[in-house]
Amino acid sequence: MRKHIDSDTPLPYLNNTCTYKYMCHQLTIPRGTHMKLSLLLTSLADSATHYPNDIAFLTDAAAWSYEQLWARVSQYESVLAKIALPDGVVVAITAYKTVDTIALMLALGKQGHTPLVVSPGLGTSVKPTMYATAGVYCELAADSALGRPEVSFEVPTVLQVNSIPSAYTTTTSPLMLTTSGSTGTPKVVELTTEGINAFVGWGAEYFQLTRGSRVLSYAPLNFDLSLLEIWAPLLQGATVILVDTARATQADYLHGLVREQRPDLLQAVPMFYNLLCPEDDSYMLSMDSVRHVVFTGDTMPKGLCKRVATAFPQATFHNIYGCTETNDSFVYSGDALAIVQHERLPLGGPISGVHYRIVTEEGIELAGAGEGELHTSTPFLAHGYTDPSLTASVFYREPDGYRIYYRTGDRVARDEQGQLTLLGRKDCIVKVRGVRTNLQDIEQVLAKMPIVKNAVVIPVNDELAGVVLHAVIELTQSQKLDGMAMRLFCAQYLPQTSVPRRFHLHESPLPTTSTGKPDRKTIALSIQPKESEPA
Amino acid sequence: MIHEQNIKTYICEELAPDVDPAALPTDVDLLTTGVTDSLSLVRLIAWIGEEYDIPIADMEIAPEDFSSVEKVNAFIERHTVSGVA
Repeated sequence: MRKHIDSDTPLPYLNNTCTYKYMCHQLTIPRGTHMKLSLLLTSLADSATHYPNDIAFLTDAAAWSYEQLWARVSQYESVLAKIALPDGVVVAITAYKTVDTIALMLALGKQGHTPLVVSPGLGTSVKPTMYATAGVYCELAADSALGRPEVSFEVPTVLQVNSIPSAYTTTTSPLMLTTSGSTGTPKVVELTTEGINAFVGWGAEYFQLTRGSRVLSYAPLNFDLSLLEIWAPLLQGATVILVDTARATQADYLHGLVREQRPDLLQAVPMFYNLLCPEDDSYMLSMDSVRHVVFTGDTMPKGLCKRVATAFPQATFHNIYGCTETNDSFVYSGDALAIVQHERLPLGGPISGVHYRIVTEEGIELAGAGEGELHTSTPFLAHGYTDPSLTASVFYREPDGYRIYYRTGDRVARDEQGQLTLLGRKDCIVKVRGVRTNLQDIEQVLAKMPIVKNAVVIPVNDELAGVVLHAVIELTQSQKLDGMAMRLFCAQYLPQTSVPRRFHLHESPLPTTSTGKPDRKTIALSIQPKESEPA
Repeated sequence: MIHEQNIKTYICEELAPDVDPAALPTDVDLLTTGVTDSLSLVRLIAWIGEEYDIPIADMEIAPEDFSSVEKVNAFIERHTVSGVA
């Protein structure tokens, strides 16, 4: 049962007793000892006071000044006061990418609560487990369709007795995010105040964010990318240009937005750059306002790098590696000439304060060149997951007991010069007839074919063969083609065991996740052999 | 090649359904291109024995004899009367 509460709903304590929290609210005094996201809130209050007319957010519908944003945060505080949340609880926020959602998150932080930002598309089957593990008190969604702030309020069924939350957690974490869930159920990551402050500080300095900077925010709010796209600019009094989620895959829209709003920092996954700089040159106008172009989330194909380098001639390009648990940890930066020279963009060097280890399958730390799993320790490291057993499985204290490392699950190679290259996910390694095979290596070979737009290789269990590789291909154009051409091409570059045994060719786009990555689970389900078919 | 079409049809229907028989070159290596592998090679040989009445079970088999359509065709011709089943 969802309840709606808005800023005109009568306050419950108006004529009765009054809580400390409510008193603070009436006096507009943040409860400093409990306030979360305090650095950001202090900075926002400062911008609202000293530069009230500076623009905090640009949306397709409106421009929000810092004064208006701060006022909206206060309005959401009023709404929250009527819910009378216990101190320091975890509140799930549906991450509709709006200024209202951001204002609600800030209001929660100001009142000492912890927003857990969840995707609007989070499956109902996943929520009960996730919310129980995180000890979520209630779920809120912000809206102001009627012109005044309103939240819908819901107590997760799994945690309630007679509609009252019966089990919930209090935490010092200022913000919780979830992992993508691409390797299973999304995990809830508890960020720390120190980690967030260190990260937004690094981001502001590295990308020279100042009052007057304009940052395009493409990622969903529930992604850690939002820390650089939203929280770091707000800390500096800069302007955030919010991309409308509903139109995030429309090339015309994105190109118009970049051209008209003239951001100086872009951060996005390769899909965004593919839309912005298509192969047919239809938008190849130089976008010279952009000073920093950040690639993240996936490997940038060489051809796309060239097109992006042409489109942003003035920019510095950054290939950033990181994950929700550690935030950004490696960065490679170079100009247009530099990035087009690489067959595959390198990981670059560790960000200031980041330490890393490369650990072999035998659990031995590499001293020199070689391959292994990347373990990182960053100043931005999360406290862990809300499930302690999951935390214990991937976070560990280094042997001398000083630093905490995170096992990334990513395989990297280090050459004799110390240069790191990302090889792919550890879980992308399968054994085909006893031979270790990297699925991403096969995908990269397939991607070299001009007729291949996207390629995903899926290992399918086979009763006799053990594992059989299937390649699912999205073609760049409609043409009569069969698997033989693919096989002949693969045979030039791959060992026999790596050549997929089945090819599924499609002219329509492959299913993708919300970040534009291939949705491997859905693709795998679509190719499961029927009983009557050979594997 | 007398048996070319029959061999191609079997391979493309049973072992590599994504391959069009017309696009399968007769001289291409079936193993390195993943059209067959060590397991499906066994199926191919069993089919040849049954289809062309060749006593496969009693013969010395060299995988090289089945590495392309034309070699499979040659094997069949060598082991059938007048090359016709």
